[in-house]
Amino acid sequence: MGPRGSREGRGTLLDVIIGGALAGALYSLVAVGLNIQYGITRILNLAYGEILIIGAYITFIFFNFYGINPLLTLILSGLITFILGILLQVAVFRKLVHSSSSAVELEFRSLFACFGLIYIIQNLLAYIFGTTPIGVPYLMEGISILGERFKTNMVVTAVLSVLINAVMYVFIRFTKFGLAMRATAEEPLGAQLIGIDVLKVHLVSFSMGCFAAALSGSMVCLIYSNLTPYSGTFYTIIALIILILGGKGNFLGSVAGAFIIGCSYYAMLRFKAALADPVIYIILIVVLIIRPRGLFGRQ
Amino acid sequence: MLNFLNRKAVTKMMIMIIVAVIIIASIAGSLYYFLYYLPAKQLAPKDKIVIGIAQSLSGPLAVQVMMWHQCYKWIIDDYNAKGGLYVPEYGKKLPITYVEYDDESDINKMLTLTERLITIDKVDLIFAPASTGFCYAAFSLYEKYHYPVIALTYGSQAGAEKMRRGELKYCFQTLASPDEVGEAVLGLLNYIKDKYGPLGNIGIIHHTDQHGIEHAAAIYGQLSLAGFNIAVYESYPFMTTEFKPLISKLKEANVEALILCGYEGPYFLRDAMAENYNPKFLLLGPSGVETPGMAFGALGFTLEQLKGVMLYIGPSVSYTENDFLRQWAEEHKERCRPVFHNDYGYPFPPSATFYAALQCLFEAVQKVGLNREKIAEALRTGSFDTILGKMHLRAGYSPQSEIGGGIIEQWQNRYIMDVIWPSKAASADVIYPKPPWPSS
Repeated sequence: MGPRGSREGRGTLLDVIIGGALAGALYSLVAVGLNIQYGITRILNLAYGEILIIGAYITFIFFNFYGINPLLTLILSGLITFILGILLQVAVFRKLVHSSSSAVELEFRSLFACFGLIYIIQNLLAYIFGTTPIGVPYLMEGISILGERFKTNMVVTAVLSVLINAVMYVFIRFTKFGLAMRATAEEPLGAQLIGIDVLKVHLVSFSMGCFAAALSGSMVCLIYSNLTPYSGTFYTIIALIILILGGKGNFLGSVAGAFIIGCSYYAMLRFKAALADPVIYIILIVVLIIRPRGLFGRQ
Repeated sequence: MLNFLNRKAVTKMMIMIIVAVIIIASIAGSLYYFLYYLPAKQLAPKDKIVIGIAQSLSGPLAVQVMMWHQCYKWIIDDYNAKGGLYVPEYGKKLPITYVEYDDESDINKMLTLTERLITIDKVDLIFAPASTGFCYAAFSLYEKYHYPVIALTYGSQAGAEKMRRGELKYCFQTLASPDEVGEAVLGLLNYIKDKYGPLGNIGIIHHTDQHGIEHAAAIYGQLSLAGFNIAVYESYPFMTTEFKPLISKLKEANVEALILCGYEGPYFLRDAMAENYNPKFLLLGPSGVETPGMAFGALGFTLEQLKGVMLYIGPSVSYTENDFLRQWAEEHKERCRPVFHNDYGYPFPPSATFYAALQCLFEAVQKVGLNREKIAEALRTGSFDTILGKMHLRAGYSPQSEIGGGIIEQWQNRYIMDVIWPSKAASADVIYPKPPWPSS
C-alpha cells in the first residue's frame, strides 16, 4: 500500500472509530434506561421505545409551540417522563409486584402489561398529534473531527449521552441510594431484610429508566425528522439487543455493548452496507451461545 | 313434396327429440328469465353507492396513508357535492358513502377486512389499501371476487408484468413501473450528456426492499446497456438513518451522478449536506421529500437546500398546465392544512394523477353501471374525462392522460416540484449541475 493508500486507510479507520463511537454513545443512553429498569425491578419494559417517543414529542411541542431551545427541552422532557414513570410504576407495575409470587411470574405479567402500554401510548399519541412524522432538525451542519466530517447534532448528542450516563453511573455507584439500588438488583429479599425500602428503589429505578428513555428520545428527535407514534419499537429492539449483549443489570456492560453495536453497524455500513443489520444479529446469537449472561454479566 | 307431413315420417324418435328440445328450451328460457332478465327488470331498491376502504389508519403505514390517500375522501365529497354518481340502470344519481376499516398496518388484517367488505358488507366498489406490498397481496381477492380496483400506491414490476399478461384483469396501477422509471432515467442522462458533456462516474444505491431492488435493477439494466460507467452499485439496510459511511465510499469512487432507490432520501440529504458531498446529478426515490408539506414542515428543509434535487415518481403534474390545476393546487394546500399544520400543503407530483385515476373508476360507473365485469372492461378499454383531460388506464403501465405524464421531477424555484422528464411533459429544463449546498 502506497502513501495515498495508507492515508485513505487511516481515514477510513478514523471514520469508523469516531462514527461508531458517536452512534454507540447515543445507543448507550437508549439502552441504559431499559437495563436499569429490568436489572433492578425485573420489569422488562417493552414499552420503553414508546416512552422514548414521548420524550421526542415533548421536545417537538416545546420547540414548535413555545420556541424553547431544543437542548433546553431535554430538561423538561426528562422531568415530565420521570413523573410519568412514577405514575406508571405506582398505578400499574407496583400492583403487579404485589400480586406476583415469583420474579418469573412478575416478568411474565409485566410483559403483558407492557404490550398493553405499547398500544395505549401509540394510539394516544396518534389520536392527539396525528401520524405526521415529527422532528426538530437542529445543528445539522457538518463539523470536522480529526479530519473526518460528522453532523454537529450527532457530536452534541453523543457528548450529552456520555455526560448523562456518567452522572447516572456516579449516582448508582457512589451514593447511598445507588448502593440500595444495586443491593435490590442483586438480592431483593436480602435488601428488604436489611431495611432497604425496596418499593422506593423500584419506583426511582423505573422512573430513572423513563428519564433516560425520554432524554434519548429528545436527542433522536434532533437528528432524525421521521418520528411517528409508531417509531418506538425500533428503539426497544436496539435497547434489548444491547441489554442482552452487555448483561442484565450491568450499567457499564450496557455502555460497552452499545459501543460494540454502534461500531459494528457503522463499520459494516462502510464496508458492506447490505450486511449491516445481519451482523448485529450474528453478534447477538454468538454471545447468546458462548456467553448467555452477556459479555459483562455476572453468573 | 309434402312427404314430411306423411304420418309415417313422424317417428317416435322424432317426437321424443322434439319434446326434449322443447323441455330444454323451456328450462333455459326460465333460467335466463329468473337469473338475468327478471333481476335486471326488478332492480333491488338502492339509495346509495357504498365504497369499501380497508386502510392503515394506525400503525407504521398510517403516515403514507395520510400523505397519499387523502383524495379518497375528497373525490367522494366532490362527487356528492354534484349530487352523487349517475348509475345508468337506476337512471339517476346516487349519493356515495363508504365503509372504512383500520387494518392497523397489518397485511393479514387488511386481507381479512377486504374480504369482509366484499362478502359481508357487500360494498359496490373498493378503494385500494396503502403501499405496494399491501396492494399486491389484495390483488388476488379483487380477482377472485371480480372487483375492479385502482391501486394508487402500487409501483412494482412483478404485478405490472401480470397485468400486462392479462393475469390480473381487475387490478389497475397508477404509478410508473420500475422499467418505465429506468427508461426515463436513461433518457434524462442521455439528454444531459448531449447538452453538458460526459457524465462522470455513476452510483446506484438502493434499500433491500422490493421497491429499491426492482427500481435499482431496472435503472442499472438501462444504464449499463447504454454504456454508462456505474462505479458503485450497492444496497443498504431498509430505513437506515446513517449514510455517512456510504457517502465516504461514494466520494472515494468519485461518483458524480447518484441515484438512490429507496425511501431514505431525507437521511441521505442530511448526511450529504453535513459531509458536503454534492453530486452533480442527484436523483432520489419517493420519501416525503417530494411532498411539500413534509419537506418544508417536519423534515425541515428549505427550498434553497433542495434546489436541484430530483425525484422519480410519476406520472406527475407540475400544476402550471392550466388555471384549473393551479387552482386545484391551492385548494389542495387548504385541504392539507389540518394534516401538515403549515402553509406548504401543495400537492406532490402525482396527486392529481391519483385523483384522476379514481375519476376514471367513477366515470366508468356512470358509463356502464355497477356491473363490475363491465366496469373492469370499460377501464381496460375506455378513456375518461378527468381533471387531467382524457385519461386511459393501461394494463401494467402508468395511465396516459392529456396533461401530465412526467416521471422525473426536480426542486427548482417553487414550493411544488417541477416536472423535468420526459421532455414532452416537462414544465422546466433540468438544472444541471446541481447547485452547491447553501451552507458550503
